[in-house]
Formats: sequence, C-alpha cells, structure tokens
Amino acid sequence: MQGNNNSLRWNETSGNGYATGTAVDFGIGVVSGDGNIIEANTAIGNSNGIVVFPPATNNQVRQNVAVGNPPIQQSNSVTTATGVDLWDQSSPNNHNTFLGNMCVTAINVACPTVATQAVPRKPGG
Amino acid sequence: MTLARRIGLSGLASVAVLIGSGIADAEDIRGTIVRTLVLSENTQLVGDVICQVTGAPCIAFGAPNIVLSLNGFSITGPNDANTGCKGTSVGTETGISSGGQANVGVRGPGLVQRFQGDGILFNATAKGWVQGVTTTTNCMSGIRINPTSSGISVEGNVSVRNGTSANPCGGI
Repeated sequence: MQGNNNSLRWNETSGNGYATGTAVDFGIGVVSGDGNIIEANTAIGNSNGIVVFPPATNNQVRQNVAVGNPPIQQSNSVTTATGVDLWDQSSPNNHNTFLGNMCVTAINVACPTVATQAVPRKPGG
Repeated sequence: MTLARRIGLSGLASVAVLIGSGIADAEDIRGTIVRTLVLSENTQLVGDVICQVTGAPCIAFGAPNIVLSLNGFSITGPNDANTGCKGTSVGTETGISSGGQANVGVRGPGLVQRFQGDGILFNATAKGWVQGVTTTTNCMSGIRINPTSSGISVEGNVSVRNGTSANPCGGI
C-alpha cells in the first residue's frame, strides 16, 4: 500500500511474497504514504507478515494478528532469506505506531507475550 | 450497453450478452475480454470473465461514483495458476484498475486472479473501496493502492499467493 489516509480492516493475507530476489515481499506492506490505518487484519504464512517501509509516516498498525511468517518450509529451504511477522523499517521520527498486534517474531517492533487486543475478524462476520 | 463503453468482448458467452443488450441489463458482463473494458456505470458480473488483454488493464473504471459487483464470479488473467508469474511482472496488466476515477468500488464476493500486474489497483483515485474480494496468484500485489490515491477503504478481503521477487509487493 502507498498513498495517504487509507484504511485496511478485516483482511486476510496468506502465502504472499517470494523469499528470493532483491525485494522485500509481504502480506501487508506500507511501502510509503501517510496517515494510513492497518487494523484487525490477519497475516499468516507470507514471506513477511506486515512491513512498514522507510518512507512511510504517521501510520497506525494495530490489533492485527501476524504469525507464522515465513512458513516453516521457507525457513528451512531458503536459509539465506529473512522473514518476520512484523517489521518496522522506518525511522522513529516517522511516527509510525504499532499497538496491540499479535506476533511471534519482529524487527523494531515489540511482540507482546500475550495478545490482548488483536481482533482478526470483523465482529459478527 | 452504452456506447461510451469501450468494449472488448469475444466468445459465445459474450456474444450472448451483446445480442441481448437491448433487453438485458446493460451493465452485465461475462465471457472473454480482449481489450480493456471501460466502465461508465454500475456494472455486475453475471458469469465468469476470462481476460486476454495485454499491456493494459482488463477492466478499468471510466467514470466516478460507480460500483463493480463481482456477484461470486471470477475474473481470470493469463498467468499460470501455480506459479503466478510467467516471468517478469508487467505493471500495466492489472485485473481491475480504478482508472483515476473518484469514489469507485469493487464489491465481492468474487475472485480476481492470475494477472501479470496487480489484481486490483487504485491509481490516482480519491476515495474508493474494495470489499469481500479474493485475490490470488497475481504477479504483483493482490490489491494495491498507489502513491497518488487517498481515502481508500480495503475491508474483508482475502489475498493469497500474490507477489514477485523483483518488486516489494504481496497481499495488500
């Protein structure tokens, strides 16, 4: 995702992205943009779960479930590749925020030991 | 079917739509698309769609404030069902493009798959939405919002097995 003031809610992403090559692929990616909301989505079994890239500013990533990124087969068969559930590549000065997400592995983001706020599906959906 | 629409349909199913255009809903589409289909009014799928368009979107919005309803049908591009890409991605070969139109929407359920570019692309669009759509095996992202779009709502979609190794992309 790029652009400004967009919202992603209640989406399910799985099995997206390549482990090889020069690009960082993802289930959900904020490649650039400002003021976007990524909320209550699920990212499982992608090359990376949710990635916020360096140009992105003032985005909120909250209450998502991102686990199992990358899948175990990829971790074993492409050992040179890295992949995580949550990855904040931006500067702290960019003011991107992560709140209440459920994850197991992450870079520059804290994974809570117990998920207390993640709501992966639309209530009643 | 309005003349304002630039239509590229072929095949028996599509012919049936064209012949019946005087009495059927003008906005109903199905069959094979060979040139970009530009939407000028609310449109719905009444059957599966096969796309054979090269170098351009399969379906593009040509007017603001309209909706494309997939009605549980699929829009399928030329790519491989297993690998997604046939090689290098082609950014212009999008399944559904917002075409720079404001306040346009894509309503599921429905499937958008096997395109050489993005499955659904919002480009230069202010306000828009996509809900309940499954995107799979597209060579770039399943759903992509480009840098000149804003106020896009993406809700309740499923995006699986999209991506290319050459560009940062994937599900959404």
